[in-house]
Amino acid sequence: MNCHELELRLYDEDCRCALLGEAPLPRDVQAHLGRCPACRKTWSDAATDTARLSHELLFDPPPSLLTPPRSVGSEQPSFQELIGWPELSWGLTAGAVLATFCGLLPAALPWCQWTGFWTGAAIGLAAAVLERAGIALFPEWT
Amino acid sequence: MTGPAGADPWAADRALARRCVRGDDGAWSELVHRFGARIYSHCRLAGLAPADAEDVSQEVLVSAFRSLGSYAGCSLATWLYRLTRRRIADHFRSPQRRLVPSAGIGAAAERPSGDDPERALASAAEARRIRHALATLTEPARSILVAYYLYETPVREIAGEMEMPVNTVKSHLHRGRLALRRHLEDRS
Repeated sequence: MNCHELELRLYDEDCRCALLGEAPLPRDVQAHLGRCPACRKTWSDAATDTARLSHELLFDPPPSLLTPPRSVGSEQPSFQELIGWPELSWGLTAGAVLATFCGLLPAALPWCQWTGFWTGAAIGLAAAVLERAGIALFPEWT
Repeated sequence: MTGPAGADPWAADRALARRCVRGDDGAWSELVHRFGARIYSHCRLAGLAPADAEDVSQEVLVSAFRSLGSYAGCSLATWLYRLTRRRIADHFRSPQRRLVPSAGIGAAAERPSGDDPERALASAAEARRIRHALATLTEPARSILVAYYLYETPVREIAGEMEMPVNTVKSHLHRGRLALRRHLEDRS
């Protein structure tokens, strides 16, 4: 290893750990430093700089930044948030429309209207809940 | 520090990311405490005013939370450094940005910490001088120094991020560090 190679070697991870005192000196570096006083100075300067730059470049962040916002941690909407009066209204309306339609069929049986009502209500409610969930889950779409 | 040695150098980072994705509040707090200050500092060192730096840092964290599922192939530090760089670039493209003169980067008031007020003030002054010196460096040296010293990103990952050879990154680091040292010695 020559002096220029040592200058570049300083930035490898094993050397960074050694500069910070977290790991022993790598053997090739140790061998070069043993015979080169100029590089011993280079190593010493690099150790000082590595320690102070890692520390001094840090700003104190505002406390609000270190408190995870609840809206980020709980993006999944609850059941109560998904089903409200608007969704129930959509369900009832869709049920009523389908029941009326079933009642108008020429060969309609008595239970047809009830089946139509419940089917329509289920579809209407599901569509409304999905729409609400879509807004809650992907706010960037709105 | 996450090093590239070993079969899976980013196993711990990936485990943390998986816990965050599963909704583990403790994991998210750990991530924010590990990287929040670095992200904020990156924004400030890039010249953002404190309020803007806080906004951009929040955006980075929210964006990180949403896309942690796709995190792979590098350390979390590098991944967050990349996100922050993009957000800062977006911010400088936006017309609402507030500019801070480069001298103001180091001049912001910081809380002196520690029991000894004189030592704390000296330390704050030293930090201001270093940040000011960093602001005098040109790109890409400044970005490389921020990635290496602030995020503790390994040189190989910086090289991948910056699309330049490893030895070029090391040369920028070396010249940048010596320039900082000269600047600090001249001013003292």
